[in-house]
This record gives sequence, C-alpha cells and structure tokens, in this order.
Amino acid sequence: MSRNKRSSIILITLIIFMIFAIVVNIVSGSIDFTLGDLKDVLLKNRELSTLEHNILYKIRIPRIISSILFGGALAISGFLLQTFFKNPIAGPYVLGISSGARLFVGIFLLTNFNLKIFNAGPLNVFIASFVGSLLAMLFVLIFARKVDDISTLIVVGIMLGYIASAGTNLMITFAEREKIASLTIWSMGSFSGITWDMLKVSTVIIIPTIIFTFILSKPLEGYLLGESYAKSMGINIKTFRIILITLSSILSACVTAFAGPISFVGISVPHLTRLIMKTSQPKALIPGIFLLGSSFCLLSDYLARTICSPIELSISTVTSFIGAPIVIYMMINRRKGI
Amino acid sequence: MTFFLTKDLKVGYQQRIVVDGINIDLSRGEILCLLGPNGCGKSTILKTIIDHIKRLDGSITVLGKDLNVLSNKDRAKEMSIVLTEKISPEMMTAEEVVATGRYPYTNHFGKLTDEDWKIINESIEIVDGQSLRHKEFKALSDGEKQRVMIARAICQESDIMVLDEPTSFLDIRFKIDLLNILGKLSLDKNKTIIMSLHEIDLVPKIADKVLLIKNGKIYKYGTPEDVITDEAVNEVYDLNSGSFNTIIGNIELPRVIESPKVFVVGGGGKATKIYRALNKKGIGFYSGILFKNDIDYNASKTLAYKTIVEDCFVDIKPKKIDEAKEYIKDCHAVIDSGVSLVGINKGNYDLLRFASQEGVKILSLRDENAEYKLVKYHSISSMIDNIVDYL
Repeated sequence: MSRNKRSSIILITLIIFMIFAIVVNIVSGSIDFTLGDLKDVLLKNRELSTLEHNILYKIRIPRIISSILFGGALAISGFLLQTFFKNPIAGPYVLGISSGARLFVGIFLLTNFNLKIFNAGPLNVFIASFVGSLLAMLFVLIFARKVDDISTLIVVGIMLGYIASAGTNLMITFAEREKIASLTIWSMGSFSGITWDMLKVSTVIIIPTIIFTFILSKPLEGYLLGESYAKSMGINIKTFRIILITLSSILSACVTAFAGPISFVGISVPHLTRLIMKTSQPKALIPGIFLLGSSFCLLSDYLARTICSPIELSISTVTSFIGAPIVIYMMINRRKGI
Repeated sequence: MTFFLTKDLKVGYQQRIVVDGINIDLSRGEILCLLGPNGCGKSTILKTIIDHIKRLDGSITVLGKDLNVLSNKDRAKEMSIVLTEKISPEMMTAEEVVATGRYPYTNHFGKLTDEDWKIINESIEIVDGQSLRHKEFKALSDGEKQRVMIARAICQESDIMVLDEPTSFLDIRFKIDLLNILGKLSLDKNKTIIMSLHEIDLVPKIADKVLLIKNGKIYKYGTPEDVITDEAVNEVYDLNSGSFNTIIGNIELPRVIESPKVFVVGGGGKATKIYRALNKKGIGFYSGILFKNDIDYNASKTLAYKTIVEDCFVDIKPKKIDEAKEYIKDCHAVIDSGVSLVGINKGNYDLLRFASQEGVKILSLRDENAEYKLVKYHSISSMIDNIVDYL
C-alpha cells in the first residue's frame, strides 16, 4: 500500500475516533442525556428541554470545542518545538513557557498590581498568561540567536522556567491564602468555565495559526534532516527558526491562557501520531497530530469529569497519568522503527 | 575554462582567521581534495564555501558569478552537501531521505512529480542503494547511510557537490566504493566535487587538484602529482622523514630506538612483515642486503637501525657483504626471511653461511632445506615469540 493511501486511511480513522470521543462527551455527565436522546434531537424527532439546552450549550459543547481546539493546538505546538529542537522531550512546558505564564498570572492574582489594561473583565487572566508565555518565549528566542547548540538552548529554557517559578514562589510566600488557592486552581488546568466568548477569541487565534503551520509543511520536512541540510536545500534558517518558535508559542500561550497549563499533550501526542502513521511527512502528520491531540483531550476531559464524579479532576492529572507512561514507553522503544 | 574559483578567500570566525589566502580554480567535473592535519581548517573552508559560516574576505564564484548574489534556492541548485554530522530523522526511509534532495525543485507543498521520482530512482541506482530504499534510515550502517546521503546530494542535481570527510567511519571496502562513485560522478555526470579526505594514500588516486593546508596556511595547491611529495606530506603532518612514502602510499610507525640485536636477511617483500613485527615488540634490527628497488626497502629504510643497500640489478659487491658480516658478529640471531639466494642475490647466501659458521642462531622461514644450520618456523608470529624469549 502506498504511503499516501495508508496516511489517508489513518486520518479517516482518527476522524471517526474523534467523533466517537465527541459523542461520549455529549452523553455523559450529571444529567442523563442518552445516545437515543441525541439521535432523536439530531433527527429532529424532539426538541431539547430547557435544562438539556442549558447543559449542552453552556457546559458540554463549549467544553468539547475547547478540548478539540486546545488539544489540537497543544499537540501542534509540541510538534513544532520538537522539530525545531530535534529533541523528543521539547514541549511548551519544558521550555519555560508555562512557568512564564504562571509567573504573570501570579503577578495578577497574588499581588495588588493592577494596571488599567488589565481591566478586561474575564479576559484578565488570559492577558496575563498570554503576555507571560510570549515573554518567556522571547527570552528563549534571544538566546536562540546566541547559542549554536540546540541542547544548550533546551537547558536555557529549563533554567528560565526555574527562574520564573522562583519568582512565583516568592510571591506565594507573601500572598494571602485565598489568592494562593485561585492560582493553584488555575495551575492545575481545566476546561470548565470556558465561555463562548473565550472560544471565539481562541478560534480566531488557533485556527489561522494551524493553517499557517500546515502551509509550512514543506520547509518543516526539509528541517527533518537538521539545520545544515535544511540550509543547503535553500531554507532561510534564521527566519524559519523565528517563525517556528513564534507559531508554537502563540498556540501554547493561547491554550495556557484559557485552560491553564496542561501537561504531556504537547510531548506525547506527536510521538504517538508518528508511531501510528509511521511517517515523518509533515503534510500527513500535522492533520493527524491535530486530530489525535483533540481526541486525547476529549477523552482526558471525559475521564477527568467522570472517574471521581461528582468531584472533577484537573485535566493535567489525567493527561499526565496517560501521557507520561506513553512518553516513557516511546523513549524505551525508540530504536524500533518502521 | 575555470568553473569554480575562489580568490584570496579568508575564512574563520569573527575575530579569528582560520585560513587565509585560499585561491582555488577548478574546471567543471574536477575533483578537489582538501588535505591537512586535524584542526588545520579543512572544515572551516568547506563550511565557508557552502555558506554555513560567513566568509571573512575574498570571493567565491561559479562561472564568474559570486555565490553571495544567488538566492537561497538558486544556491541550493548550484551546490549540494554531505556533512560529517550524523542525522537521525525519526520514521524516515532511506528513499524519503534521498527525496529531500528534490526540495529546491518541488512545488509549494513539496509534491514529487514523476520526473522527480525518476531522478530519485536514478540517484539511488548510482550509489547501488536499491536494497536500502524502504529500510528505515536510522537503522542503516554508517556506510549505507553515507551512500544514501550521497544519493540525496546527487538528486539535488547541483553542479557542485561538497563533502566533508565522506570516508570517515567507513571500512576499506566502503571507502573504495564511495570514492569510485564520486569518481564516476565527476566523469559521467560532470559534477565538480570538493571534499576533505583523511587518507593521504587515497587522495592521489581520486583528486584532480589538491589543497594542502598546514597551520592555517595554504602549504601548496595544484595537481596531486605536484603537491603530494614525501617531503610535503612529512612536513605538513610533522612526520619523521621517510615514514610516509607517497609512491607506494605506505606509512610506518616510528622506529624503536633500542640498539640492534638481530639481523634480518630480507628481500622480495618477504621481510616487511618481519620488520614491523620486530618493531612492534621493540626489538631493534639491522637489515640487508637489499636492492634499492626492492619492495622491502621502504619499510626497512624507516624501521631498521641500519639498512645495507646495493644498487639495482647488479651482483652484491664483496664490500657490502663484509659490512654486513661485521653487523652479524654483533647480533644474537639472524632471521632468514626466505628470500631467493641465487643469481645476483648470492651475496645473501654467503651471509647466512657466515652466520652459521660463526655460530649465530639462524631462524628461518624457508620451506626448503639449506646447507647451513637453521631453525625452521612456519609463521612469523611463532618466530617472533621465540626471539622475544631468546633475547
């Protein structure tokens, strides 16, 4: 079977899998809304009750859409960083992006530091986190221009993360207890409380970024052999480096801002996709990674909601429990190939 | 007609000049080898030519056009590379790695046309890599990887190929295969090839031009016949004089300094291995009587404490025999390599007879019996072990 045909079949399977994950999320939760109900509503055999309407449109569907968007975005963000750093553990949270975001959310939540620009209603935390992520990435970029060695750059990223965490911890030491609690809740990450407004903003940011990433499939493929060969194929390395990191940080910053830091999606999903699709061709991989990232988050969110129901787990708890073993498994089995 | 030209090229990093005054002129289809000790700046020159580091000064032109004015894409069509750095792309087959060479020619989404595939297939055939095609690149051996990378460079269809030490990590068989492929590319496809090589002995066999570099200076540039001489190589690499022989491409380790206790009667290529074995064990030796054109002469000249030499194609003169006899008197043993003892070589027969009369032990690798007293051995190693015990 040709590569392309194989990839198409896997992509279709991934779409079906995602639809399955969406349905699972629609029909599960604190009120009963069965598969039969869903079928009836879709076939227009009956109307939704007001309660059902509220539950679906105010809670479940926004959560589903955010899982799809954010899961896909995180996975693509991780893929971009792994391509750039040629290092399998590179992910938005290894490079200090989440720590940067947490530092700024900390400044906003823990201190009385209030600027006029932060009076943006529910988007306050979003703005703080977005600015924090981008600043962290900006530092990494500045160092990226100075150091030639990519593994050094990863160490720099990790160290920047520690500095940001130290800053956050410093503030925690002097902060009031309730404020610390709100930071902790944000830090654990969750898809609850996402509004349609937030979804609109993140769609406008995430979808064009991912389309742009897909358009870059060709240079991304050239990049697979490392920067020296990429350069010899005619890729402008300096520009492309900046584009890669910028795209990746926009995606992860956006997700972190709305849902808090969600670990292991960015690291594990690209690996898992490569393993399933048995290819490195970005053209095939990018859609696959997005779909699998979405499904991964949909199922993780489903588990977070239902395992200890009525108590809801943080999404990171679930993604870490599933994602970390996947990463370990894949690191150990790296030698085995196609 | 000059195809590739560098003029007063100066290479290095910001403040530090690595090599200065590089003037190369190549016709289309010529092979240039950069030669010099580790750290002499070969890689820096290559990296400058492929524009991975900015040149400090001077010009690099192809058909009179400076490479700096070319766009990234046009440059990629002009020059392809094979580097020393090892790549290990995840989940890529050898064929996919080769196909990346088509990058400068494909459309925006990197779609490979039938024409592209034809070129990819041809390139794979040139390096004889059909069997590697669908294997994962990461799982290939060093030699196979190198062949794939060369196929990749070939299918980039550039006029110039730049290779940084393409033969390192390869065993002798792959080295020969690889240089053979490069030779064919230059002859059949008219590719101009610029590469660095470590093997001084291989350079004259493949290169049309050689750039010999020492300590950041161009020592000499020209054809290998002019550039690679015993003196040049020994000086550039700081070797003891005579340890490298450019005619037969042979290199010997330094001689042991111990005073000689053994006399080796050699000749006809029977003794070179004995010289080396003695030298390895740290046993100094006299050597004789060799004709100047003997194949054993080069190793003997480097390794023996003293070599007694006779002119070519004449009988061994009594004077030389007497000289050898004096040495034999000092020795604890004489090694008879099994060299012919008749004709112009009869002098060596006299020597062995003399040793026998003097009561010096003779260790012999000769198959047939002789008229003098000897101890026979069937292998050099058992003989050398015995000598070590005896001394």
